[in-house]
Amino acid sequence: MTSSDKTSRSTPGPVFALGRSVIRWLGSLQLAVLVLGVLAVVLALATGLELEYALWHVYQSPWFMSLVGLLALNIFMATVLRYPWGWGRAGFLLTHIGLLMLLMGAMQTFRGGIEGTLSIQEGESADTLMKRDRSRFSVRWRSGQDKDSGSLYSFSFRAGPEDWREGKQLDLKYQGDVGLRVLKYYRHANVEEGWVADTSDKGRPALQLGIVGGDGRSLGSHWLSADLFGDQVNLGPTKVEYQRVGADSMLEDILKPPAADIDKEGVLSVHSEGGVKRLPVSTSRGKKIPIGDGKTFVEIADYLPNAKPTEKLDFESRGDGAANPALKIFVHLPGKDAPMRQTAFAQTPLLSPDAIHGTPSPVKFWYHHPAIAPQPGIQFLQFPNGKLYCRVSKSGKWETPAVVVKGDSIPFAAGFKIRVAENLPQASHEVRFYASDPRSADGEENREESATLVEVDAGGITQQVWLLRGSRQYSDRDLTTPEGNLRISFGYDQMVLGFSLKLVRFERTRNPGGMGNAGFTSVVRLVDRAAGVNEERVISMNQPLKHGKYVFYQSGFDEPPDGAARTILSVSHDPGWILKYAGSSILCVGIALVMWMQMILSLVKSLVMWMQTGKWPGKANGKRTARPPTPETAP
Amino acid sequence: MRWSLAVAVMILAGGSAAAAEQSPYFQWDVWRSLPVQDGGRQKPLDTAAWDTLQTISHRRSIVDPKTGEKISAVAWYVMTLMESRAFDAPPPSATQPTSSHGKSASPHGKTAAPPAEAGDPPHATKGTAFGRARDRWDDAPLLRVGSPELQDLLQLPEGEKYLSPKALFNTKVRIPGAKSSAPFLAWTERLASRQSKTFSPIERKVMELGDAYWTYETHRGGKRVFLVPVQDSEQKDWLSLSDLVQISWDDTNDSTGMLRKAKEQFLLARKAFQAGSVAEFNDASAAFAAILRELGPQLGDYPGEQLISLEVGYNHWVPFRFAWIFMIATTLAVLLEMATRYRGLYVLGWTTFVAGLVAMIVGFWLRTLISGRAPVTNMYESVVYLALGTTVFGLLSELLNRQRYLMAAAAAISAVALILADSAPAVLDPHLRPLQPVLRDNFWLVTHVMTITLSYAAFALAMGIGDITLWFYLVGSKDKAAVATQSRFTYRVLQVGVLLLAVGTLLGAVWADAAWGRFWGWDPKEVWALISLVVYLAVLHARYIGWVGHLGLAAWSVVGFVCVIIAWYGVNYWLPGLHSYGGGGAAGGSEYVIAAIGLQLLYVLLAVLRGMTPRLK
Repeated sequence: MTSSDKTSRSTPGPVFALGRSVIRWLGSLQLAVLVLGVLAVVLALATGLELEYALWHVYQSPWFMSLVGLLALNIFMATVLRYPWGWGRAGFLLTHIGLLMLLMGAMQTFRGGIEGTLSIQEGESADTLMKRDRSRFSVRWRSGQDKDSGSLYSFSFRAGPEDWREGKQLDLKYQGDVGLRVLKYYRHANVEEGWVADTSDKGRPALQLGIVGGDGRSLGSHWLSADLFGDQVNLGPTKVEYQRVGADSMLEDILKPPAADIDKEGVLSVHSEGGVKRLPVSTSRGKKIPIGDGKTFVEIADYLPNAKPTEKLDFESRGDGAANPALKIFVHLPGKDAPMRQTAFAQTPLLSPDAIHGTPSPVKFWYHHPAIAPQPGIQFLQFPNGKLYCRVSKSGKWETPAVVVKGDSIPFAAGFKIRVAENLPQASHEVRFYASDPRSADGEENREESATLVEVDAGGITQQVWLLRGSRQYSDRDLTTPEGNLRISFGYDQMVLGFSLKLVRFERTRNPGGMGNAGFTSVVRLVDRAAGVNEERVISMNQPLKHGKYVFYQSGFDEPPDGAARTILSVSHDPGWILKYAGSSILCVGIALVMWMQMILSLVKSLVMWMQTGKWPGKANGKRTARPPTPETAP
Repeated sequence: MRWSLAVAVMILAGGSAAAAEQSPYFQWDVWRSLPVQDGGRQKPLDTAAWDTLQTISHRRSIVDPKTGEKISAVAWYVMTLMESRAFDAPPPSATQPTSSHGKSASPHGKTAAPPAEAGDPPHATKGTAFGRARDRWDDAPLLRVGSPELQDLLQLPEGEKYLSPKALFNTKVRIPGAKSSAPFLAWTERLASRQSKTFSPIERKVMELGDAYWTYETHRGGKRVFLVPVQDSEQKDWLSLSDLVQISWDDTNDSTGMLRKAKEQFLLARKAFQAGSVAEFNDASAAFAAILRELGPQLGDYPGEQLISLEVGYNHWVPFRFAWIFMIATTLAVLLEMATRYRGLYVLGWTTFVAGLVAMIVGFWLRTLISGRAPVTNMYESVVYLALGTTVFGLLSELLNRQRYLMAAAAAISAVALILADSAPAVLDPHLRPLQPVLRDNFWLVTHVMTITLSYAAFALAMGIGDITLWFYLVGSKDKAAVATQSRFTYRVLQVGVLLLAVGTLLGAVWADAAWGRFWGWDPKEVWALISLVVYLAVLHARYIGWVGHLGLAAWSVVGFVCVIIAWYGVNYWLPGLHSYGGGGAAGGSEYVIAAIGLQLLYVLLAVLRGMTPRLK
């Protein structure tokens, strides 16, 4: 420590000399040639990338900016070090000043510039431009208890052109009381909804059916999940039903249903732990009938040939035709004073009465009625023991049911088949977001939108949510927090212009013969209340509209065969334009001067000599001296 | 404008009148100068015929398979219309002209129903895709199959490059990657309707051939030649020959009766042609043309007589072809003079050099008159413009410093550029076509392109001189003074080029700012212009500090031009971007360009190795 202090104090020369040579080197031609060479190679490689990627990885990356910065520093130092400049260096000076101004202008544009698009349909107005190179989350409290329902936070960021690698995160910090952190980002993403086996008892049965064409090709698949009401899907005219069955003993109801002629009011089969009892309705009505161990009684209270719901959440029969036969049933349980009320419908025998009354009943019913014939279709029945039965109805009759397992196929119409692709007696719903390839197999550009997993810190808890841009279902999600509900949306960054443009009409002119486009024109009405402007303006190819700090250019259009035309304008604000234009002009003059300064100077000298002596200086020895540029003539 | 038109017409008038006809029997001249609308531009039928035959056959003239006689494009064009069975029996009454747009000859148009979807050859034996009965031309080997891969795919006999339209129609191929074979034309349809416009090289060739086929079919159906404007058409439609013949005209849709007369004369001419009665055909043709010329201006925008004859003259004389002959003569004369020291040869060189320059200027002047715009809008024009620029630079340097090889280098470069432009119409499309909207009415475009291309001319000249210098090193010449002088000129010309390239690039930025709203957009063309600039700047600066000597400067002037070639040609064809409109069609020739670049670099390498060897000793 001491010795080095001593050294630096006693011999300031070497440090000073080192500093001086560093500065010299920074302003040297050697460095200029090196940087230019590296720049050329980098740029050449970058053009091999698609623009999106080149911008992200090269042109707008910190290291490329540093390279350009080094060039700027080199230019600057070279200019400073060659002071005093003198007339002979005018070209050199202007060239380098112009270049520096150009680079500064470019920097200004990069930092403060705005580029976006504005898409307006004929007859409509727009006042917000969209910046498609930036993503945005907007977050809003929704009528929370003690929150401002109106406060809106927007978090914008540049995601880049590709999927984020595993582990890359972006902290978007806090706005108000909401904090966001992007955990995953897929540039092109898709969502897959499905069911997975669930061992907890919170799940419900789910069934995936594949539709197979006559030639054995898969035509798609469909998930059915049976809540208390069951689930169904229509495949053309065929109704496919999926129901859960209340008791294993109900197998008898489908294998050996009671004959139609036993009772014109039908037969109620009663399932309990003690077994099955079949009660002919007309003879059993009004009686308390013991079942099982003899301590539980079932009483058919009422027969409703055509049940309709009443306003008091009850049913009554309207008319005598047996259109919707139903039974009101009381279940008298041991140790309970009031009976449990149940209802059984013949049309939907598997509709569990528990769904209506809430409390599960230990006794289950299946109501058979002679007037009810099955609709054509296929029924999948999920039994509590895990077995899946399938039965097909044709011409008003059920065919013999059969057990089916995963992989079985059931023919249903004209060579088509239904295949049991997955059978999960206990399953839970799952939504999976996954990255898709940037290009599809035939080279088409992937137009799928981006998905992101974001961590939201709000209302005292932290939760994660997937968002898929442009999706009807997943671009906006509602989150529940102890302090209220929060809506988070994922879209593109936007910017309010402060005025509006209404597309009055879009015009397209054609070449003779109607071949190809000769030009595009958008006639817009510009309304700027603050500036008191309300007038029609025209935007066409090479004729932009300027208003405020923005410039609008005709960039594209969409003319759907049915519907109004839509114009697409590109909007830009370029704060660096003055520096860039001025720098360009100075640069051009500078380069010209570099080339011809010597000639101009010698002309001026000759002119001065001619004015003083009246003689134009001739060539020294009749021969021009060729002066190839050599190190001696270097600036 | 008016006077210059008149002058030009006078200059060229002799040419078109004296045009010798290949067929002594029928008069095609009246057809040649008939104004038509084709591809969005009004032009003489001469140009339309040439364009059509070029698209189909890549030829300027063709041999009649029946007589074995060589016939011109116009003769072929009119003959194939006269012999077409599409005009046999007009189908029952159409009363409205079908709009001419969308009836494009290529499969990109919507109306041309793909025969493939009908999918089957049954009607192929009796008719075509458009229901026209077959004739002898359908069996003639007209369609050019350029690429060897495609020749293999279509199973053409070894060395055969042409295929008849009927054969192509009936051809089924196995599409690479597909399971079963399908009609070739179905493939072209599928490619044309593909959403993304990225194609493999073979797919480009397939589309090119498909385009040739559809051009042939629409031409034979009379659906490609548009004769007069449709009155008050908002879409600026013109009436096709097919519509003229097949619509039943009456007083409601033809108040003057002239369309009926025109139709009558056409059918008369057709009948006479088929019967072989020459005089009748010539009379009916003249009457037909006269009616159309009288009717056209009454119906809408119709080109003037002078402009049409000017274009016919331009087509006939081809000033740029004269130019390259002169340039070759100059190169040879100067080289011989350098070898023999016979002064007369130098004078001859000067004469041909100036004559070539004049021919080019006349050519540009005519193109400007005909198209009504500055002739720097496609690859063909920019290559020719480069030749002009190089010649001017060569002329100026030679005037200032009588160094023979300056003129030799300029003339040689100029000749190469002109020959390229003249002999590769598929890549460098010489036809005048309507401009894309963004390129129209733009002062900045013209100045930007002209400046940039002029800088390319300077760099081309620098490369030419550099090549000469490299030759000195390659043969181990002891003439140090000559090398030093050449080096000085290379340096000077590079400086001029750098100035022009910098100014041109900045002008391009200004234009981009005006057209697209951004000064710089990192488009590959922009970036490659910048790369060229950076490379040349690096070389000029390296020269200052002595990192690059005479040999290095010569070598770098060649390597730098490779960057220019990429910026100028490569970006249009090899990389996607905004500037792709500069490219002329599906393009090709990449293999030749790459080979030329490879040879040049090899030459540089050899010269540099040879030049550095003595120093090592």
